Amino acid sequence: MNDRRTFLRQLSAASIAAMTVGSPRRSYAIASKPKATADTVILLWMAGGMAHTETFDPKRYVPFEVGMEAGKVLSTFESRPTVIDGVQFSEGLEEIGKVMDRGTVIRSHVVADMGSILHSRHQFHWHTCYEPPQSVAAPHMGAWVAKELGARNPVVPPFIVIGQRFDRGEKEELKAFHTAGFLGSEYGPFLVEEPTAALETVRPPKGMTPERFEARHSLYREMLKKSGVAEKSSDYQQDSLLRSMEQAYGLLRSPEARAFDLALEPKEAYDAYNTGRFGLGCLLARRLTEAGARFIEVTSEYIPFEYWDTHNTGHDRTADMKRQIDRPVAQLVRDLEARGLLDRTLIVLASEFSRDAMLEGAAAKPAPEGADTKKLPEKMSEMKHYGMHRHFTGAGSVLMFGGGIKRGQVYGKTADERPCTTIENPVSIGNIHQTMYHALGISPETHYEIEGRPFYTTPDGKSPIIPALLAKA
Amino acid sequence: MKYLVSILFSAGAFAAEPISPELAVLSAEARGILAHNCTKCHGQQKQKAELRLDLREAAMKGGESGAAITPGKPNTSELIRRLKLPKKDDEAMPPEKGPLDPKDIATLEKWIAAGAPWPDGATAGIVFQRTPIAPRTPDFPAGTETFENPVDKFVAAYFLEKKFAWPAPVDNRTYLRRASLDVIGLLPEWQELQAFDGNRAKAVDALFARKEDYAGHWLSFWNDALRNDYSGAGYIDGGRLPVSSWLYNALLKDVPYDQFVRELITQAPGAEGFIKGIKWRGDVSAGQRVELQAAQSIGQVLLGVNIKCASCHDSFISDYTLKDAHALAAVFSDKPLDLFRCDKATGEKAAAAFFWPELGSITAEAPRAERRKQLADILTKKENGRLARVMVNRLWAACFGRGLVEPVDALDNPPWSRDLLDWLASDFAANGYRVTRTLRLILTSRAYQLPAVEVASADELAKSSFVFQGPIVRRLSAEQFTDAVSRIATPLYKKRKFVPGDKGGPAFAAGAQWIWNDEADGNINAFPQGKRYFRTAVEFPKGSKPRLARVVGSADNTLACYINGTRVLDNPNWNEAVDADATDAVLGQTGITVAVMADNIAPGAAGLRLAVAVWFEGQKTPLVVATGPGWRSAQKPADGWEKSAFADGEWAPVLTLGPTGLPWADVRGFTLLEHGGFVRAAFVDNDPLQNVLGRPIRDQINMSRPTQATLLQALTFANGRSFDDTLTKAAAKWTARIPDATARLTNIYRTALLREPRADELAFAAAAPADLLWSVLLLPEFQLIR
Repeated sequence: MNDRRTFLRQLSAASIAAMTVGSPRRSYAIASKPKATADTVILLWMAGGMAHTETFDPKRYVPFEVGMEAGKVLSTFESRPTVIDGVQFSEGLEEIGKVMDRGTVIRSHVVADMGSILHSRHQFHWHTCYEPPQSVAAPHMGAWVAKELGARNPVVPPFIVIGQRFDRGEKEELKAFHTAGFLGSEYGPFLVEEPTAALETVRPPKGMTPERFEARHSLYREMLKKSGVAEKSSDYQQDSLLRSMEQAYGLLRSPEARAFDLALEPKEAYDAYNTGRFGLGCLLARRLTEAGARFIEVTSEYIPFEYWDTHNTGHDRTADMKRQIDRPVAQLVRDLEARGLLDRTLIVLASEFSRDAMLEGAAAKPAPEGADTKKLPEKMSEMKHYGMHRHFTGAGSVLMFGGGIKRGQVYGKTADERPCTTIENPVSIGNIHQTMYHALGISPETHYEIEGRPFYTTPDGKSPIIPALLAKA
Repeated sequence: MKYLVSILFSAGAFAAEPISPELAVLSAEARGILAHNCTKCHGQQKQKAELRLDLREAAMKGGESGAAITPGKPNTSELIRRLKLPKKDDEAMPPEKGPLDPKDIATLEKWIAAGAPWPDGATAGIVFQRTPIAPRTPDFPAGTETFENPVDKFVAAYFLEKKFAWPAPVDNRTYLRRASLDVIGLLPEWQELQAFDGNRAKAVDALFARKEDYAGHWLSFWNDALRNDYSGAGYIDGGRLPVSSWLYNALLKDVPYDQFVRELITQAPGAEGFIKGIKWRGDVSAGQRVELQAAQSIGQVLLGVNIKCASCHDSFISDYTLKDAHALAAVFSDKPLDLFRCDKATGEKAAAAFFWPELGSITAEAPRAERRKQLADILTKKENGRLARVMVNRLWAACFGRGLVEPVDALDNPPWSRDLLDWLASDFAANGYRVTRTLRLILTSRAYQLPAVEVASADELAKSSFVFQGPIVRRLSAEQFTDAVSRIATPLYKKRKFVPGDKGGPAFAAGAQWIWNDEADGNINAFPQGKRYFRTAVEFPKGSKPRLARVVGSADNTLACYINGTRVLDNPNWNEAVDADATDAVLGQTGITVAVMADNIAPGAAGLRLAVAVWFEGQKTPLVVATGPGWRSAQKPADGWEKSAFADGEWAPVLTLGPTGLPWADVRGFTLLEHGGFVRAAFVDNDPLQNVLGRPIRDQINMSRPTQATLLQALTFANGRSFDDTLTKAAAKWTARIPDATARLTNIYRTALLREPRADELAFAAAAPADLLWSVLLLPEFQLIR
């Protein structure tokens, strides 16, 4: 589908004239591409803000006591050892701890403050690498990957997002980055809102028998033949219509469609992942990786004040979130490894920012004064205050596994006392994106002219990779 | 190739030293690097060490340390030496920012090695091609007298030059489908096509007479352009204030375009949102402040100028500067506007001004309202030929699938016929900036009637080497497609998100009753054949000022309705109520006389049901005049029966047949706003179906809808549950209405494809009705506009 020769063809005079506005066009030749160490990406999205101090970068544990000073608390869980010597994770992440010899934990992920915390804006930033608002529609990372690398298997949509429902919470804001932006809707995400109902997205509509589905398609083909336009036309719109109809038909009747059916998974394996929607999303991601998807995002789902958006009763909710992610994430790593796929599959677990009980935004910024529902009382009187968190951008944890990533490594460091901010090797969103693109063999120079502006995969194409994250830099 | 670039990068048509496209790009990149990294100290504001790198001559001359750039010799160029020094070296550049990206240095080296090409630097900055601002009315080309439509005169001359012979115009079916989709966004009805006598000018007039349908279609065009109908949040300050009602009414009334622009710029009531932009929560880049959004939108939409780049730094793709963008933005600023370069404050304040000083000036010290007015004056004055050129080019693109200039937001690109563009623009301005007038002109041209041209890829359309040969094959827009599905299958939307002007719509018709002339002894199935005449009159409340009126009605079999003597509605179909705007007939009036001629074309049942609603200034609830007791009727009218002054005292009271039931239980359109009981796509929120078909989210202005079909679309059609539900319901409806399979097939083909099934297609009658509908709706013949 993606003809590389077309991409690399010499810049023609005509395309200069056209580059001011309108559809994007590649206006350069890539001098060199990194050698790909991964073919597939699985982004495990911890939507809502995952506190590093409660997960992959635990600090001093302070048990709950009525009347305790809020400012004293750093972690509300005990630390537990991982498979890496001297590296501890927060209680409840023991399974992931056991597979850390297959990956890297980054503890120094710093994101932009943007003046005011807004989950949707920060998620937009993380997924597109551009701070909103932008004057042109920025593509989701998955769309870039779909555009540059195309489908791995022609019948499997290259870019799939699992688990985010768009009928609750902040709908439009979420849609704003679940898009291919100026790259064109062809590269947009295939949305699987319910992992358990994924099959419905790729099988004939409910109530339609396979026979009728076949009959409908033959009818369509017959009609095309009779209407006489199918063969003789050379129009790109008609071509694209007929091609995509055949592609859809191909997917719906293909063996690959079975990848979407979690019911086919043996009970034992199903149970291993089944911690809820996210866990089953991981299982679906594994199946789709096997079937040939290119970029899969599994989200814990963003709904204001739910999931990782942990304010009130933060401790209990964080414990539940860890329960949801621990087994399935570890199982995903193990399963891919067992199938020989981990080496070429890049798994990244990240969140739009971290959390701190006392600070809001960047480390140097105290929480705003005045009426503020997120603010902790100075002395904790009830358990619901314990683990209550604000938003923190000065540090955060990211996990990376497989696909050319260095094994058994901790990268970056945060302070042991509040603010538990990054003190070594800060890693930006751009760094992570560029490193991921590098692993996929996508040049940092990759950009398109849109409205006269060169738009790169990372701002101005300038975010450097972090060589230390790679097994072979 | 060389010729083309010389056009692009020089002031005149012929540059002294045309450079190759590759070098042009390299040069732009190199200058971009200089602008981003060097010109803060070596530019317009400061000239440290007497060096300037923003102008060609100055850059080549060098500064205190001599020449900075030695063309052809990167290794001996001082610029490169300084850039490569370690950061701690006193001579290292740039001193604060630290060493440049090696990639950027490599680009500069490559550029210098290539001779440091800097296109036509005789004047400040880079000289880009610019379309003249002044209007121009070219003479009709010689030898084109046989062509009546001015558009064709220019196209004929163009064809002559291109040695292209006029192909025969398209047939009536193709023409009516094309024109109907372009004017009102809806497919023509089979009956319309049957009744079409081939008089294309008349057909176009009839389409434009359907003002609400016209507005319902062009609403989407303007929503894209004005970034209206954006429902996302992430903003504060009242957010993205919609201009929907204002826009709808402007379209309904065909408000002259200069007035339309004036209202947008001066933020007339209801139109504030366009300038207001989106005020995002938190920090945004300086180039996205609301004032700069306003400047960018004006540039992009109204003037075809991209000043998005110039909002951050002097543009590399045009000669618009950071100052230009900020000066325009300052028109809308409450307080002195800080000038930012690449997100860093320069310490300067921007003074309100417009970047084409020849059109007039703006008093920077004047209050905001005055500045807006001055800008509106400048933009809409006749000397600004640009406003009209941009608009007619957009109209052309909407009708032909490709503008005279492409992309439509970049009017400085060369048109394929400058004479045609200039003539259309000056004609548009000279005749009161009537959009519908120019559209009519275009739609009745022979050029528009040419067979559709197939294109191998979208890129072909973007090329400036494009040769016009007729309209491009287009695809139904998301809205056109969903409206067609609503019509042919079953309504996708039943509830409007917004009702233009006021709430209500023809819900006002709910109280209307079926009436007829009392002449069959109460046997409502035994009325004689023939025309009957109906009247009623109502005075408006004292002092009330009518501002809007709508009429909806149906008669068995046909009707013509007059309000205050003006014919406002014709409905030839007894089985469907039709509504229309009647505002012009009531404006300035003190009362309303409704007169209807209804024709019972065969003996038997007969009836008329009609309602008029009149809205007054300052009032939300309309006055409703509906058929029922109190109306009078006659078998034969005297002259002037339709006029207000006519005395109908001798006419008889009508027979009231009842509100519903009767033979007309299924008459559609009385309780819902649109024909056929569906709400048009433009009146509802974007949904997954429309979104996947390309209706944008509109957090940015985006005038280029995707035209290519995608796998995601195909999957939506192939297994989307809501699409399947729609077709299943529709199949049941069709089957109930037309039990005979062949007759049903014939009807589906007529309705959707506007043709009879061919003999070898009749076999499809055996297919499941839902599958039949599905297949028809996905045929290229249906999906494409040819």
